[in-house]
Amino acid sequence: MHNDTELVERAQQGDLTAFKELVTGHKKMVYYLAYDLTRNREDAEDVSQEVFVKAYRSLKSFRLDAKFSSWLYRITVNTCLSLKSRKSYSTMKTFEEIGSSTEPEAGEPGPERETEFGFIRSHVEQALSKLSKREKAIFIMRNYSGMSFQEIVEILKIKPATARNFNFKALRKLRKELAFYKKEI
Amino acid sequence: MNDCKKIESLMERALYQELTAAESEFFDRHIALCPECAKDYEEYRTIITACAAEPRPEADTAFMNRFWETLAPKIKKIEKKRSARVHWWIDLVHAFRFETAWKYQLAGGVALLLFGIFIGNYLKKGTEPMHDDRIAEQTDAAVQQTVSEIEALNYIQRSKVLLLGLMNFDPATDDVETINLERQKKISGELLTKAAEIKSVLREPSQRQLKKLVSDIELILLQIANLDAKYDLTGIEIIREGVKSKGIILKIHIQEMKKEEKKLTPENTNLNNDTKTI
Repeated sequence: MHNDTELVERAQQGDLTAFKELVTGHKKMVYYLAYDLTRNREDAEDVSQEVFVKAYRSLKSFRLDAKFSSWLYRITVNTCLSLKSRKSYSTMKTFEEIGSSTEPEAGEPGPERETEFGFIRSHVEQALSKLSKREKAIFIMRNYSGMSFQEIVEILKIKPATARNFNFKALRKLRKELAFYKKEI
Repeated sequence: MNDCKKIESLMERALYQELTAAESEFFDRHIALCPECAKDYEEYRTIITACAAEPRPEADTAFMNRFWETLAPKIKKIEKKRSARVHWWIDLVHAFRFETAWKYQLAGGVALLLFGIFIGNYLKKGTEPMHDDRIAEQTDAAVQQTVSEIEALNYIQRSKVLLLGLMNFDPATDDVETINLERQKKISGELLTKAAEIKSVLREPSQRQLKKLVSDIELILLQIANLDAKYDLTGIEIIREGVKSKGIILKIHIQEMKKEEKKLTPENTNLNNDTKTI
Protein backbone atom coordinates (compact mmCIF):
# COMPACT_ATOMS: atom_id res chain seq x y z
CA MET A 1 0.00 0.00 0.00
CA HIS A 2 1.55 3.30 -1.08
CA ASN A 3 0.89 6.69 0.45
CA ASP A 4 -0.65 9.54 -1.54
CA THR A 5 2.55 11.57 -1.85
CA GLU A 6 4.45 8.72 -3.45
CA LEU A 7 1.58 7.88 -5.77
CA VAL A 8 1.13 11.51 -6.79
CA GLU A 9 4.85 11.82 -7.58
CA ARG A 10 4.73 8.72 -9.74
CA ALA A 11 1.53 9.84 -11.43
CA GLN A 12 3.07 13.24 -12.13
CA GLN A 13 5.85 11.41 -13.99
CA GLY A 14 3.26 9.70 -16.17
CA ASP A 15 2.69 6.49 -14.21
CA LEU A 16 -0.94 5.64 -15.01
CA THR A 17 -1.00 2.73 -12.53
CA ALA A 18 -0.17 5.15 -9.71
CA PHE A 19 -3.01 7.41 -10.80
CA LYS A 20 -5.34 4.40 -10.90
CA GLU A 21 -4.39 3.64 -7.28
CA LEU A 22 -5.16 7.24 -6.30
CA VAL A 23 -8.55 6.99 -7.99
CA THR A 24 -9.31 3.70 -6.24
CA GLY A 25 -8.34 5.18 -2.88
CA HIS A 26 -10.38 8.39 -3.17
CA LYS A 27 -13.31 7.67 -5.47
CA LYS A 28 -15.78 6.98 -2.66
CA MET A 29 -14.91 10.09 -0.66
CA VAL A 30 -15.22 12.20 -3.78
CA TYR A 31 -18.52 10.56 -4.72
CA TYR A 32 -20.05 11.08 -1.24
CA LEU A 33 -19.03 14.74 -1.08
CA ALA A 34 -20.43 15.18 -4.56
CA TYR A 35 -23.62 13.50 -3.45
CA ASP A 36 -23.91 15.75 -0.37
CA LEU A 37 -23.42 18.83 -2.49
CA THR A 38 -25.64 17.83 -5.40
CA ARG A 39 -28.20 15.79 -3.42
CA ASN A 40 -28.54 13.63 -6.51
CA ARG A 41 -27.01 10.23 -7.32
CA GLU A 42 -26.62 10.71 -11.08
CA ASP A 43 -25.07 14.13 -10.66
CA ALA A 44 -22.73 12.73 -8.01
CA GLU A 45 -21.59 10.02 -10.42
CA ASP A 46 -21.00 12.54 -13.22
CA VAL A 47 -19.19 14.91 -10.88
CA SER A 48 -16.93 12.23 -9.40
CA GLN A 49 -15.80 11.17 -12.88
CA GLU A 50 -15.27 14.78 -13.91
CA VAL A 51 -13.26 15.46 -10.75
CA PHE A 52 -10.71 12.76 -11.60
CA VAL A 53 -10.49 13.92 -15.22
CA LYS A 54 -9.77 17.45 -13.99
CA ALA A 55 -7.32 16.11 -11.41
CA TYR A 56 -5.42 14.16 -14.06
CA ARG A 57 -5.31 17.17 -16.34
CA SER A 58 -3.91 19.42 -13.61
CA LEU A 59 -1.87 16.82 -11.75
CA LYS A 60 1.46 18.34 -12.76
CA SER A 61 0.47 21.67 -11.24
CA PHE A 62 -0.36 20.04 -7.89
CA ARG A 63 2.23 20.81 -5.24
CA LEU A 64 2.89 18.21 -2.63
CA ASP A 65 2.84 20.69 0.26
CA ALA A 66 -0.96 20.24 0.41
CA LYS A 67 -2.99 17.10 1.02
CA PHE A 68 -4.01 15.32 -2.17
CA SER A 69 -7.43 14.57 -0.65
CA SER A 70 -8.00 18.28 0.17
CA TRP A 71 -7.08 19.17 -3.40
CA LEU A 72 -9.52 16.57 -4.75
CA TYR A 73 -12.27 17.87 -2.44
CA ARG A 74 -11.68 21.41 -3.63
CA ILE A 75 -12.05 20.26 -7.23
CA THR A 76 -15.22 18.43 -6.18
CA VAL A 77 -16.77 21.50 -4.53
CA ASN A 78 -15.93 23.71 -7.50
CA THR A 79 -17.25 21.15 -9.98
CA CYS A 80 -20.49 20.84 -8.00
CA LEU A 81 -20.93 24.58 -7.84
CA SER A 82 -20.46 24.92 -11.59
CA LEU A 83 -22.72 21.92 -12.18
CA LYS A 84 -25.49 23.55 -10.22
CA SER A 85 -25.29 26.63 -12.33
CA ARG A 86 -25.60 24.72 -15.60
CA LYS A 87 -28.07 22.02 -14.54
CA SER A 88 -31.50 22.56 -13.14
CA TYR A 89 -31.83 19.37 -11.30
CA SER A 90 -34.51 18.35 -8.88
CA THR A 91 -32.87 17.46 -5.62
CA MET A 92 -35.90 17.51 -3.44
CA LYS A 93 -36.66 14.13 -2.05
CA THR A 94 -40.18 12.95 -1.74
CA PHE A 95 -41.61 12.26 1.69
CA GLU A 96 -41.82 8.59 0.68
CA GLU A 97 -38.06 8.54 0.12
CA ILE A 98 -37.48 10.20 3.50
CA GLY A 99 -39.82 7.79 5.21
CA SER A 100 -38.23 4.74 3.63
CA SER A 101 -34.80 5.47 5.04
CA THR A 102 -32.67 2.69 6.41
CA GLU A 103 -33.06 1.32 9.90
CA PRO A 104 -31.50 3.52 12.57
CA GLU A 105 -28.35 2.26 14.19
CA ALA A 106 -27.59 2.46 17.91
CA GLY A 107 -27.42 6.06 19.14
CA GLU A 108 -29.31 7.39 16.16
CA PRO A 109 -32.76 8.94 16.53
CA GLY A 110 -35.67 6.54 16.60
CA PRO A 111 -38.30 6.17 13.82
CA GLU A 112 -40.56 8.95 15.07
CA ARG A 113 -37.75 11.44 15.53
CA GLU A 114 -36.25 10.35 12.20
CA THR A 115 -39.53 11.10 10.41
CA GLU A 116 -39.60 14.52 12.04
CA PHE A 117 -35.98 15.14 11.01
CA GLY A 118 -36.83 13.95 7.51
CA PHE A 119 -39.62 16.50 7.36
CA ILE A 120 -37.28 19.24 8.57
CA ARG A 121 -34.57 18.13 6.13
CA SER A 122 -36.92 18.33 3.20
CA HIS A 123 -37.64 21.93 4.11
CA VAL A 124 -33.98 22.64 4.79
CA GLU A 125 -33.13 21.40 1.32
CA GLN A 126 -35.70 23.71 -0.17
CA ALA A 127 -34.38 26.56 1.96
CA LEU A 128 -30.81 25.80 0.84
CA SER A 129 -31.66 27.34 -2.52
CA LYS A 130 -31.95 30.69 -0.73
CA LEU A 131 -28.29 30.56 0.29
CA SER A 132 -25.36 31.79 -1.67
CA LYS A 133 -23.15 29.17 -3.33
CA ARG A 134 -20.45 29.55 -0.70
CA GLU A 135 -22.82 29.51 2.23
CA LYS A 136 -24.49 26.40 0.86
CA ALA A 137 -21.21 24.59 0.16
CA ILE A 138 -19.81 25.34 3.62
CA PHE A 139 -23.07 24.47 5.37
CA ILE A 140 -23.32 21.15 3.54
CA MET A 141 -19.67 20.26 4.12
CA ARG A 142 -20.00 21.00 7.83
CA ASN A 143 -23.50 19.68 8.54
CA TYR A 144 -24.12 16.98 5.92
CA SER A 145 -20.62 15.66 5.18
CA GLY A 146 -19.59 16.10 8.83
CA MET A 147 -16.30 17.82 8.00
CA SER A 148 -14.60 19.83 10.72
CA PHE A 149 -14.01 23.54 10.19
CA GLN A 150 -10.31 22.75 10.01
CA GLU A 151 -10.92 20.40 7.06
CA ILE A 152 -13.16 22.94 5.33
CA VAL A 153 -10.50 25.60 5.77
CA GLU A 154 -7.86 23.33 4.24
CA ILE A 155 -10.07 22.33 1.32
CA LEU A 156 -11.44 25.73 0.40
CA LYS A 157 -8.30 27.64 1.44
CA ILE A 158 -10.22 30.21 3.44
CA LYS A 159 -9.76 31.62 6.95
CA PRO A 160 -11.36 29.68 9.85
CA ALA A 161 -13.40 32.72 10.87
CA THR A 162 -14.73 33.02 7.31
CA ALA A 163 -15.81 29.38 7.29
CA ARG A 164 -17.56 29.78 10.65
CA ASN A 165 -19.24 33.03 9.61
CA PHE A 166 -20.56 31.55 6.38
CA ASN A 167 -21.87 28.50 8.22
CA PHE A 168 -23.65 30.48 10.92
CA LYS A 169 -25.01 32.94 8.37
CA ALA A 170 -26.44 30.00 6.45
CA LEU A 171 -27.89 28.58 9.65
CA ARG A 172 -29.59 31.88 10.48
CA LYS A 173 -31.07 32.11 6.99
CA LEU A 174 -32.35 28.54 7.18
CA ARG A 175 -33.94 29.19 10.58
CA LYS A 176 -35.66 32.22 9.10
CA GLU A 177 -36.87 30.18 6.12
CA LEU A 178 -38.17 27.51 8.47
CA ALA A 179 -40.01 30.01 10.68
CA PHE A 180 -43.36 28.47 9.76
CA TYR A 181 -42.15 25.23 11.30
CA LYS A 182 -41.00 26.78 14.58
CA LYS A 183 -44.20 26.02 16.43
CA GLU A 184 -43.91 22.36 15.55
CA ILE A 185 -40.26 22.07 16.64
CA MET B 1 -29.37 41.54 28.14
CA ASN B 2 -25.62 41.77 27.89
CA ASP B 3 -25.41 38.05 28.60
CA CYS B 4 -27.78 37.35 25.67
CA LYS B 5 -25.40 39.14 23.33
CA LYS B 6 -22.52 37.13 24.72
CA ILE B 7 -24.54 33.93 24.28
CA GLU B 8 -25.19 34.88 20.65
CA SER B 9 -21.47 35.18 20.07
CA LEU B 10 -20.92 31.74 21.64
CA MET B 11 -23.90 30.12 19.89
CA GLU B 12 -22.11 28.89 16.79
CA ARG B 13 -19.34 27.13 18.74
CA ALA B 14 -21.85 25.83 21.31
CA LEU B 15 -23.81 24.08 18.55
CA TYR B 16 -20.70 22.08 17.62
CA GLN B 17 -19.57 21.51 21.22
CA GLU B 18 -16.47 23.59 20.74
CA LEU B 19 -16.75 25.79 23.87
CA THR B 20 -14.19 25.71 26.65
CA ALA B 21 -15.29 24.34 30.01
CA ALA B 22 -15.79 27.83 31.43
CA GLU B 23 -17.67 29.04 28.35
CA SER B 24 -19.81 25.92 28.39
CA GLU B 25 -20.73 26.41 32.05
CA PHE B 26 -21.68 30.04 31.42
CA PHE B 27 -23.67 29.07 28.31
CA ASP B 28 -25.61 26.27 30.01
CA ARG B 29 -26.41 28.44 33.03
CA HIS B 30 -27.77 31.25 30.83
CA ILE B 31 -29.80 28.90 28.62
CA ALA B 32 -31.43 27.41 31.68
CA LEU B 33 -32.55 30.87 32.80
CA CYS B 34 -33.27 32.60 29.45
CA PRO B 35 -36.17 31.06 27.46
CA GLU B 36 -35.44 33.19 24.35
CA CYS B 37 -31.82 32.10 24.04
CA ALA B 38 -32.85 28.53 24.86
CA LYS B 39 -35.39 28.66 21.99
CA ASP B 40 -32.78 30.01 19.57
CA TYR B 41 -30.34 27.32 20.58
CA GLU B 42 -32.95 24.57 20.28
CA GLU B 43 -34.04 25.67 16.80
CA TYR B 44 -30.48 25.84 15.49
CA ARG B 45 -29.66 22.49 17.07
CA THR B 46 -32.72 20.84 15.50
CA ILE B 47 -31.68 21.96 12.00
CA ILE B 48 -28.11 20.77 12.52
CA THR B 49 -29.17 17.44 13.98
CA ALA B 50 -31.70 16.88 11.21
CA CYS B 51 -29.04 17.46 8.54
CA ALA B 52 -26.43 15.33 10.29
CA ALA B 53 -28.88 12.50 10.81
CA GLU B 54 -29.73 12.24 7.14
CA PRO B 55 -28.92 8.75 5.99
CA ARG B 56 -26.59 8.93 3.02
CA PRO B 57 -27.45 6.25 0.45
CA GLU B 58 -24.66 3.87 -0.41
CA ALA B 59 -22.94 4.48 -3.70
CA ASP B 60 -24.03 2.25 -6.56
CA THR B 61 -21.72 -0.80 -6.39
CA ALA B 62 -21.79 -1.29 -10.16
CA PHE B 63 -20.78 2.31 -10.70
CA MET B 64 -17.94 2.04 -8.19
CA ASN B 65 -16.72 -1.25 -9.69
CA ARG B 66 -16.54 0.15 -13.20
CA PHE B 67 -15.31 3.56 -12.03
CA TRP B 68 -11.82 3.14 -13.54
CA GLU B 69 -13.16 1.45 -16.68
CA THR B 70 -15.36 4.50 -17.27
CA LEU B 71 -12.57 6.93 -16.41
CA ALA B 72 -9.72 5.25 -18.33
CA PRO B 73 -10.90 6.22 -21.88
CA LYS B 74 -11.21 9.86 -20.77
CA ILE B 75 -7.68 9.76 -19.35
CA LYS B 76 -6.34 8.15 -22.52
CA LYS B 77 -8.01 10.87 -24.59
CA ILE B 78 -6.18 13.51 -22.56
CA GLU B 79 -2.91 11.63 -23.01
CA LYS B 80 -3.46 11.35 -26.75
CA LYS B 81 -4.08 15.06 -27.05
CA ARG B 82 -0.99 15.82 -25.00
CA SER B 83 1.28 13.54 -27.00
CA ALA B 84 -0.10 14.97 -30.25
CA ARG B 85 0.81 18.42 -28.99
CA VAL B 86 4.31 17.25 -28.02
CA HIS B 87 4.81 15.45 -31.35
CA TRP B 88 4.05 18.60 -33.25
CA TRP B 89 6.90 20.36 -31.48
CA ILE B 90 9.24 17.41 -31.80
CA ASP B 91 8.55 17.15 -35.53
CA LEU B 92 9.27 20.82 -35.98
CA VAL B 93 12.49 20.66 -34.00
CA HIS B 94 13.63 17.53 -35.89
CA ALA B 95 12.88 19.15 -39.20
CA PHE B 96 15.50 21.78 -38.47
CA ARG B 97 17.97 19.63 -36.56
CA PHE B 98 18.83 16.55 -38.53
CA GLU B 99 20.82 16.35 -41.71
CA THR B 100 18.06 14.52 -43.56
CA ALA B 101 16.16 17.76 -43.43
CA TRP B 102 18.80 19.80 -45.26
CA LYS B 103 16.14 21.02 -47.68
CA TYR B 104 14.20 22.55 -44.82
CA GLN B 105 17.37 24.16 -43.54
CA LEU B 106 18.14 25.57 -46.98
CA ALA B 107 14.60 26.81 -47.44
CA GLY B 108 14.67 28.37 -44.00
CA GLY B 109 17.99 30.05 -44.76
CA VAL B 110 16.75 31.45 -48.05
CA ALA B 111 13.56 32.65 -46.41
CA LEU B 112 15.57 34.39 -43.70
CA LEU B 113 17.85 35.97 -46.29
CA LEU B 114 14.91 37.26 -48.33
CA PHE B 115 13.29 38.54 -45.21
CA GLY B 116 16.52 40.31 -44.28
CA ILE B 117 16.75 41.92 -47.72
CA PHE B 118 13.15 43.02 -47.52
CA ILE B 119 13.66 44.53 -44.07
CA GLY B 120 16.92 46.16 -45.21
CA ASN B 121 15.24 47.77 -48.21
CA TYR B 122 12.35 48.86 -46.11
CA LEU B 123 14.61 50.52 -43.54
CA LYS B 124 16.76 52.09 -46.23
CA LYS B 125 13.72 53.63 -47.86
CA GLY B 126 12.62 54.92 -44.51
CA THR B 127 15.90 56.77 -43.93
CA GLU B 128 16.08 58.31 -47.41
CA PRO B 129 15.02 61.97 -47.31
CA MET B 130 13.12 61.81 -50.58
CA HIS B 131 12.01 59.33 -53.21
CA ASP B 132 13.71 59.23 -56.58
CA ASP B 133 10.69 60.62 -58.38
CA ARG B 134 10.58 63.61 -56.12
CA ILE B 135 14.30 64.24 -56.53
CA ALA B 136 13.90 64.01 -60.29
CA GLU B 137 11.03 66.46 -60.16
CA GLN B 138 13.01 68.90 -58.08
CA THR B 139 16.08 68.52 -60.27
CA ASP B 140 13.99 69.16 -63.34
CA ALA B 141 12.56 72.27 -61.75
CA ALA B 142 16.03 73.48 -60.76
CA VAL B 143 17.38 72.80 -64.23
CA GLN B 144 14.45 74.62 -65.82
CA GLN B 145 15.05 77.58 -63.53
CA THR B 146 18.75 77.67 -64.29
CA VAL B 147 18.18 77.35 -68.05
CA SER B 148 15.71 80.23 -68.08
CA GLU B 149 18.11 82.36 -66.01
CA ILE B 150 21.01 81.59 -68.33
CA GLU B 151 18.90 82.57 -71.35
CA ALA B 152 17.86 85.77 -69.59
CA LEU B 153 21.47 86.58 -68.70
CA ASN B 154 22.59 85.95 -72.29
CA TYR B 155 19.87 88.31 -73.41
CA ILE B 156 20.99 90.88 -70.86
CA GLN B 157 24.63 90.39 -71.84
CA ARG B 158 23.93 91.05 -75.50
CA SER B 159 21.72 94.00 -74.61
CA LYS B 160 24.45 95.35 -72.34
CA VAL B 161 26.93 95.38 -75.23
CA LEU B 162 24.38 97.21 -77.33
CA LEU B 163 23.52 99.70 -74.60
CA LEU B 164 27.14 100.33 -73.68
CA GLY B 165 27.79 101.21 -77.32
CA LEU B 166 25.04 103.80 -77.13
CA MET B 167 26.04 105.04 -73.67
CA ASN B 168 29.66 105.47 -74.72
CA PHE B 169 28.61 107.44 -77.78
CA ASP B 170 28.73 111.18 -77.22
CA PRO B 171 26.69 112.90 -79.97
CA ALA B 172 28.54 116.15 -79.30
CA THR B 173 32.03 114.84 -79.96
CA ASP B 174 31.73 111.39 -81.65
CA ASP B 175 30.96 110.73 -85.30
CA VAL B 176 27.50 109.19 -85.72
CA GLU B 177 28.93 106.62 -88.14
CA THR B 178 30.93 104.98 -85.35
CA ILE B 179 27.89 103.47 -83.64
CA ASN B 180 26.50 101.81 -86.79
CA LEU B 181 22.90 102.60 -85.94
CA GLU B 182 21.45 100.29 -88.56
CA ARG B 183 23.19 97.31 -87.01
CA GLN B 184 22.09 98.43 -83.52
CA LYS B 185 18.48 98.54 -84.72
CA LYS B 186 18.77 95.10 -86.26
CA ILE B 187 20.23 93.51 -83.09
CA SER B 188 17.57 95.25 -80.99
CA GLY B 189 14.89 93.76 -83.22
CA GLU B 190 16.38 90.27 -82.72
CA LEU B 191 16.60 90.70 -78.97
CA LEU B 192 13.03 91.96 -78.78
CA THR B 193 11.73 88.77 -80.32
CA LYS B 194 13.46 86.81 -77.58
CA ALA B 195 12.36 89.10 -74.75
CA ALA B 196 8.77 87.88 -74.65
CA GLU B 197 9.90 84.26 -74.61
CA ILE B 198 12.43 84.88 -71.82
CA LYS B 199 9.91 86.73 -69.68
CA SER B 200 7.42 83.85 -70.03
CA VAL B 201 9.84 81.35 -68.46
CA LEU B 202 10.93 83.58 -65.58
CA ARG B 203 8.12 82.53 -63.26
CA GLU B 204 9.87 81.97 -59.93
CA PRO B 205 9.63 84.64 -57.19
CA SER B 206 13.43 84.72 -57.02
CA GLN B 207 13.49 85.70 -60.71
CA ARG B 208 11.25 88.72 -60.29
CA GLN B 209 14.10 91.27 -60.41
CA LEU B 210 15.61 89.58 -63.43
CA LYS B 211 12.27 89.63 -65.21
CA LYS B 212 11.86 93.34 -64.39
CA LEU B 213 15.28 94.07 -65.84
CA VAL B 214 14.43 92.12 -68.99
CA SER B 215 11.27 94.24 -69.32
CA ASP B 216 13.17 97.49 -68.82
CA ILE B 217 15.75 96.49 -71.40
CA GLU B 218 12.96 95.44 -73.73
CA LEU B 219 11.54 98.94 -73.56
CA ILE B 220 14.91 100.48 -74.36
CA LEU B 221 15.47 98.02 -77.20
CA LEU B 222 12.06 98.91 -78.56
CA GLN B 223 13.06 102.56 -78.64
CA ILE B 224 16.32 101.71 -80.38
CA ALA B 225 14.50 99.55 -82.93
CA ASN B 226 12.12 102.42 -83.55
CA LEU B 227 14.80 105.02 -84.23
CA ASP B 228 13.67 106.49 -87.54
CA ALA B 229 16.31 108.50 -89.11
CA LYS B 230 19.83 107.46 -89.89
CA TYR B 231 21.15 110.19 -87.74
CA ASP B 232 18.42 110.44 -85.10
CA LEU B 233 20.65 112.02 -82.49
CA THR B 234 17.74 113.28 -80.42
CA GLY B 235 16.36 109.77 -80.21
CA ILE B 236 19.76 108.42 -79.16
CA GLU B 237 20.00 111.11 -76.47
CA ILE B 238 16.54 110.16 -75.12
CA ILE B 239 17.57 106.50 -74.98
CA ARG B 240 20.76 107.36 -73.13
CA GLU B 241 18.79 109.36 -70.58
CA GLY B 242 16.33 106.54 -70.17
CA VAL B 243 19.08 104.00 -69.53
CA LYS B 244 20.67 106.32 -67.01
CA SER B 245 17.44 107.18 -65.21
CA LYS B 246 16.43 103.55 -64.88
CA GLY B 247 19.93 102.52 -63.78
CA ILE B 248 19.82 99.73 -66.30
CA ILE B 249 23.56 99.29 -66.57
CA LEU B 250 23.86 99.12 -62.78
CA LYS B 251 21.09 96.54 -62.63
CA ILE B 252 22.83 94.51 -65.31
CA HIS B 253 26.01 94.55 -63.22
CA ILE B 254 24.11 93.41 -60.15
CA GLN B 255 22.61 90.46 -62.03
CA GLU B 256 26.03 89.55 -63.33
CA MET B 257 27.40 89.59 -59.78
CA LYS B 258 24.56 87.37 -58.62
CA LYS B 259 25.38 84.96 -61.42
CA GLU B 260 28.99 84.82 -60.30
CA GLU B 261 27.92 84.17 -56.72
CA LYS B 262 25.70 81.28 -57.80
CA LYS B 263 28.56 79.74 -59.70
CA LEU B 264 30.72 79.76 -56.56
CA THR B 265 28.08 78.18 -54.31
CA PRO B 266 29.01 74.47 -53.81
CA GLU B 267 25.47 73.13 -54.10
CA ASN B 268 25.05 74.84 -57.51
CA THR B 269 28.38 73.72 -58.89
CA ASN B 270 27.10 70.32 -59.97
CA LEU B 271 23.82 71.72 -61.14
CA ASN B 272 25.53 74.33 -63.27
CA ASN B 273 27.84 71.74 -64.66
CA ASP B 274 24.83 69.61 -65.48
CA THR B 275 23.03 72.45 -67.20
CA LYS B 276 26.02 73.12 -69.36
CA THR B 277 25.68 69.65 -70.72
CA ILE B 278 21.96 70.05 -71.37
